[in-house]
Amino acid sequence: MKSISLPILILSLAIPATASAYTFDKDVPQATRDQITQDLAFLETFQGKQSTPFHQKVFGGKTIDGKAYVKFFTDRVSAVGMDDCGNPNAVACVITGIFSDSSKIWLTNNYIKFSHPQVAKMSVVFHEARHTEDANSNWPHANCPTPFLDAQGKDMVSIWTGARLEGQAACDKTPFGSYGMSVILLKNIEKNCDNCTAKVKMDAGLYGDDQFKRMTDKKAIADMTKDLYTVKKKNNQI
Amino acid sequence: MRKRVLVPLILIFVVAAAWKGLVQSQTETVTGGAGSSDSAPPAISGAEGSALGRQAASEEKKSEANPNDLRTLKIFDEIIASRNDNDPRLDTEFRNLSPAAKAMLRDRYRNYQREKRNERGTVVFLLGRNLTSAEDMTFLREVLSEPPCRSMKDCEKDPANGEASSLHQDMGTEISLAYPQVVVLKSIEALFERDGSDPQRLEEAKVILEAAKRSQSDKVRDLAGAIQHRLSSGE
Repeated sequence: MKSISLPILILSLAIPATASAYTFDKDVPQATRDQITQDLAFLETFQGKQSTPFHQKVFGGKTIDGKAYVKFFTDRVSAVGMDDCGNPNAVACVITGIFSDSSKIWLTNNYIKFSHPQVAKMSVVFHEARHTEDANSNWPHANCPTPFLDAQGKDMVSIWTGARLEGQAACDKTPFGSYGMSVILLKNIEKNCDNCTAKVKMDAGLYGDDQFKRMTDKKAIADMTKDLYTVKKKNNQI
Repeated sequence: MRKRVLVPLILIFVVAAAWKGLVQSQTETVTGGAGSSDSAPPAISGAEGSALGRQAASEEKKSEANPNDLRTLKIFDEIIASRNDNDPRLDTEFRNLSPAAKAMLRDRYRNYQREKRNERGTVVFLLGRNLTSAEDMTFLREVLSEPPCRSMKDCEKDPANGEASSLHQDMGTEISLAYPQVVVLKSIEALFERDGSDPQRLEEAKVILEAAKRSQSDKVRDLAGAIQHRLSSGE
């Protein structure tokens, strides 16, 4: 028995840690593969001595740890493919349903063509990665309220179509859905990343604040405000 | 007697002129072939004239650039090419920019296609940390006065329509479309929050903030209003 178990043990240790990492479909261009690999590596470097309770709940640990971000992605995404995602403006999507592999993330050509700030683009990827969670019914979006107004009392509309967002499945009621999770990620990067550039932190704050506007439940908004917005920023440190 | 004095004098003048020409050509080589003042276009009125005037002025600034400025520009180009927003040099290599370095970065901004929102915004971000002259503030006003970028694919065109079910994927596009302008406002906010900011710059910043409240972009208007409110309430 010993003579069999030892080689098996050695063999198992030799299997690389990336065996559980995502694969690329054959039609994913090399430039896109390189870019998402680089973008994940960008996130992986983030470090911070503290994080908020909601961040700890989603990503684990008590600090900002880029490795935890990459683990979040690789735990959920088994493959990366190319698709137009049903919208010429989209960057990425997840397709759920009985005939779809919901653990797969689809990138569009816009992923490398559109010039979004890097942390904004990654928040979209993580938003979509959240939708892979079958155990949580893929975190479906809530319908936006009718009317759905901004702070100035104007209708919230999609910049893509000009259509009002009211009644569309483009909001969240829980802090831990895809929009809420992205806000938690971005605001923690803004507040707590110790080795991020001032630009990354500024971008994280801008896009985090923007996505917070998709939260529509009063309790969720109050809880997230307490978690993410209660400590005043001293200055922009630009 | 006169010939003995005149000939050496003439020789001195000839040698001095040749020396001056040699020095000038070496300077142009160091600056990488920047246009000389001889090639500056004649004054023309209108938008073309001001663009050409800016080009001539920037070329003049390039010829004033020292090796350190050129090194700064090279680092900037490297960072942009790498597409790594977390390059630590963004925070270390672009402080106390010289007028020539700023001019070269402004050139970069103007030469980027409008659709290069992150690239343009990065230039604004770096210049926004070095607001020390009226010219710096003029550039911020130039950025703010640009027509809105209508889509990430083509600033001159509205985005193509897609399925209504995909609207939830629209995350942050409006910020990206207005990114250079948004960064102008964040730079102004930081100027007010920074200790020791030049009072003249602060006065100019107030005017810019007020103008931003009339922007064609909802995001820019809203952010300008929010910043003005925060600053006036002392939050």
